[in-house]
Amino acid sequence: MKLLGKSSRVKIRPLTSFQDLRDETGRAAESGGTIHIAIGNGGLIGEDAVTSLAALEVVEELTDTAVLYNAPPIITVGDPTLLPMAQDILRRAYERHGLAKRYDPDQVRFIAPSPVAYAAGTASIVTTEPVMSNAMIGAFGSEVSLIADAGTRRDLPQLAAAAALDAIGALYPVTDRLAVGEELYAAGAQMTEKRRYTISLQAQDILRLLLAGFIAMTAALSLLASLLQ
Amino acid sequence: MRHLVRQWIPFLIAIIIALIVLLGYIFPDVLAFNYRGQRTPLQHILVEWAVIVGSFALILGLWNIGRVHIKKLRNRRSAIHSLGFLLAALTTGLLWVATTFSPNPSVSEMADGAVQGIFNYIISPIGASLGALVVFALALAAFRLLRTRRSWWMIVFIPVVAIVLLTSVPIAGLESGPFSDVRHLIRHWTINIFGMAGMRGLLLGVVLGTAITALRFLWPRSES
Repeated sequence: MKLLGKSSRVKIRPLTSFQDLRDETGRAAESGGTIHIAIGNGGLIGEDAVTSLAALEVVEELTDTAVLYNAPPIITVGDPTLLPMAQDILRRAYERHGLAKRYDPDQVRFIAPSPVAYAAGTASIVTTEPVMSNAMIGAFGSEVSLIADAGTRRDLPQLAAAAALDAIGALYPVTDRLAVGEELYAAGAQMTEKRRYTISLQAQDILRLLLAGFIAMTAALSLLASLLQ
Repeated sequence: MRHLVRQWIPFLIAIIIALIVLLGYIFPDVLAFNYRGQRTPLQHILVEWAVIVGSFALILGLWNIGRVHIKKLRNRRSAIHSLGFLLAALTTGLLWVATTFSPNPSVSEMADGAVQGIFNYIISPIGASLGALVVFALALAAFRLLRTRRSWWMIVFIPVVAIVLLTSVPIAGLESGPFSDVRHLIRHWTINIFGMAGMRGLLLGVVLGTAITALRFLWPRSES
């Protein structure tokens, strides 16, 4: 992310995983199918809570487009606490467009609480449902390769965003549209460019610079101390 | 009024609870009483509440799975899978009811044995084989990568994978002597120096992203 001097507008580094998501939804709708979004096994209780919330932000920003195209996404969750959250996001999107009667809570599906069973169940959905595009955004482990493999077998366009190292390792060979680590948390800024997102990105950049400076300084000081001894 | 209810009240609740949890970690001796009347750190009570909410969410999740599969069965779409799932769920549910509520101890014991059998002889082997399948899916993805994506990064990726594999597996005749030392040195530099540096950088970014995203969620939304 860069600050453009005079105009003070924030320029966000393009992330293909999120930039193409709306277009993918449109393309899927035109093909008579829909987009599948897997938001992983992280629940709202536990260390993956924020990762899951970031994934739900992506779902939130995407649902309006999906509802307008009348191609609601299939959303799969691996933790029951994410189920009502994702359903609520979808329901509100329908209500915003005055289409509350068309809302189907079963578009959001709880698959299984165990990571491998979740991946296997989700892979089955990718294979058997009319999915035209596969997005994997959230808290995953290396088992995400089962979902990605199902998408590859059907030759689907795939997008992914993961923060865990084993998931990144598993997804890297599958798609070049992969948001890695902190990029997952920039999804909102990337998709909407709303002020609250861009400001938080700026704060993140400043903190990163401070932290990097601190690490470099302590490393230099310890090197100096060892040389002086 | 709507503004107050939809933005500021959830914000205040979130901030107060976040502060209680944070203070609970900073001052672990601050105690409260849980529902059993036992003294416990304050944040543990909130975690217990969260677990109760999580349990209800699980019931909601089971209801969701059931609904989806009944609908599939009605539409005759993947009907065999759905029928299998529903029968398995029903059988396990009935066995659990028999284990927990049966007044006859022998029936309860038999049902408990059947539940254990399902876990030991069906769920565990299936879980293990799925775990093995993950390894195959990973290897397959790496091989496909060689064919489908030819970029400069592959010049880095492929040798690193090869180096880590070749220095990790035992090779007959090279387990001792100078070759062994060189192998260990290469492995050490690849994994513990370069790999660890990259991993730390990535994790640092994740930590910052998590902290900032959490703050963004706590802050009330002024735009929708």
